[in-house]
Amino acid sequence: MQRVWKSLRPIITIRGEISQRQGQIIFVLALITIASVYSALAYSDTDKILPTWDKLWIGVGKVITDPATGDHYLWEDTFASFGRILPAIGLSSLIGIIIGMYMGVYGAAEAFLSRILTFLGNIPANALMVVFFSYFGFGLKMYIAVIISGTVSMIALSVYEAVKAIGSEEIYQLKMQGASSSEIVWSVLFWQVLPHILTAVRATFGPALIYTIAAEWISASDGFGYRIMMFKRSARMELIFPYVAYLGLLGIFTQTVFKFAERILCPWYEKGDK
Amino acid sequence: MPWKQHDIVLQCQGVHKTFGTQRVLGDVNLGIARGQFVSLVGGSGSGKSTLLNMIVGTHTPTLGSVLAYREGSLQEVVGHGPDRGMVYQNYALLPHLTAIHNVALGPMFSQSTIPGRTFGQMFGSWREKRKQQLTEAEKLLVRLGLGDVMNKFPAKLSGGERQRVAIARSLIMKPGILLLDEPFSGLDEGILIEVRNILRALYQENVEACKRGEAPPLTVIVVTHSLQDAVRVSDRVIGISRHWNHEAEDLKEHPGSSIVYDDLAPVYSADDILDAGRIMHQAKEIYRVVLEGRNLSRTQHCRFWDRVAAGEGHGVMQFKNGDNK
Repeated sequence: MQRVWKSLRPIITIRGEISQRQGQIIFVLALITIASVYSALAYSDTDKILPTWDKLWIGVGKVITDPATGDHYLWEDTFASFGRILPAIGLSSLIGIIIGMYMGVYGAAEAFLSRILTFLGNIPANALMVVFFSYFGFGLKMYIAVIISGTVSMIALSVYEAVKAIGSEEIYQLKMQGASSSEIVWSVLFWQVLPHILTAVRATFGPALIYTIAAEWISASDGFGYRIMMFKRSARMELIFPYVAYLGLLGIFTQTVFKFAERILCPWYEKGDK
Repeated sequence: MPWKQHDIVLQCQGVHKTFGTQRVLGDVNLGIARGQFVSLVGGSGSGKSTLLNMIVGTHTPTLGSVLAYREGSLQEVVGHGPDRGMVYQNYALLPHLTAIHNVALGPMFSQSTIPGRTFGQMFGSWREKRKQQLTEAEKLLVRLGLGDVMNKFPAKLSGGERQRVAIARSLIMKPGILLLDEPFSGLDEGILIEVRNILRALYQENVEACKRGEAPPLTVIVVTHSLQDAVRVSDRVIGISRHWNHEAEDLKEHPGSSIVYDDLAPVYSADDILDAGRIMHQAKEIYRVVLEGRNLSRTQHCRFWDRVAAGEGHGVMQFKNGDNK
């Protein structure tokens, strides 16, 4: 009895160290809890809001391949939405990194931009969407404009803060070693703040997806936003739920890709201890 | 000036420094001969780091000028230059580069440009050059006892190893003057001995060069709050203090800290036995003058050049200007 208590004690202790196995068991318990709560709530075949497991399973098959039309909704929409998100985040990162790097090293660039960027960063991009509809219509340009307006200040400000946190001694030292301004910024500081850049870019995927779905709701004929809207019109929750779950998994996948990139590109970087 | 007949590589002429209304340094006059190892001591806030920063080029004097030897003559210090190396207290190593790449960074920047490296990479000429630079860095690291850890990132190095990497990074630029800011703080005793030994070995090279009739390669200024270390690793100790008697010099306002102590100190070669009694004695004297002293006369304890003139100088100071040319 005492032994069982001893092994369970860390679970209710602050900063208690639980074993990896215990962690896994607790995670499985969480899944079981969610599934049972859902089962208890979704019991009726006629309930449109909470479809039963059987219906949900048919829905999963349908979003992967629709037997009626032969469409592969999930795959096609991923392609359509990411075709909008990726070029936009790429461009936004490029602009944000350049602005952030220079704001971190030149006081004038900092004074010129930091307050303006903070202001722009506080405007919800969704509110600006109508402006971009009238400027760019409903094509790719509009999506890029919306996503950039919503994410560029996020990236620029975090790059700026990361560069700003680097001690002046290091920069003096580089000057003594004969480094030019461009070399200091791009050959040294860029690589040094790369982990922060990756984190910042990774963090923009969430907001970018929000803006894209919102814009697709209104204007597109494919993509996640459009599809969810269509499903919603016919109140088909058994199709919407798999979609939403897929978006969650896609987010985890993106994070994993970025963490992998960090490990390859920044082998020196260790969070926490050091 | 009393140092006329010596080969001066660093000179401060009437240097004043104020930050806003705060007068930090007032009328600092200083000449350091080629090959000397000088310790700079003073209480907290006495301005010793400010003086170091003016020599390295981070700050400019409010009044007066700092001159350093470059390309055959004494020239006013403007900004940072490869002729003056600095080892900061926090070492300022780049965390994303291994020890050897931290050291080989200076040669890369001083011997090539971004377009040069990009095109050189394509045609192969740069790779050859880079190999030479890395070999040079490796030799230096091995000499400082870091052969085993040169492929580690700074986060994986101990404090003493990081400091030696920082010293190597400065030495590879072959600076005429090397400045060390608090090199002895935060290190445990075993590593302290190694750092002192490195400094003694470098001084020994200077003396050997003088004996061969060549110019000694490296002049060192060490800022430290450890008085015993100051006496141990240098051939001259300079103390600065706020508490000197400006009224005796007909100055109405106090202009800031100035030099109140300047005397010979014994440098020992790596295998000499230390004369602990003499070190303690001098450290006590410095403590009395620089840290405790009030209303000091600026000339009373500044005997360095008089002693050199009387032939008491040792180390590189045994050799007059001309002997080593």
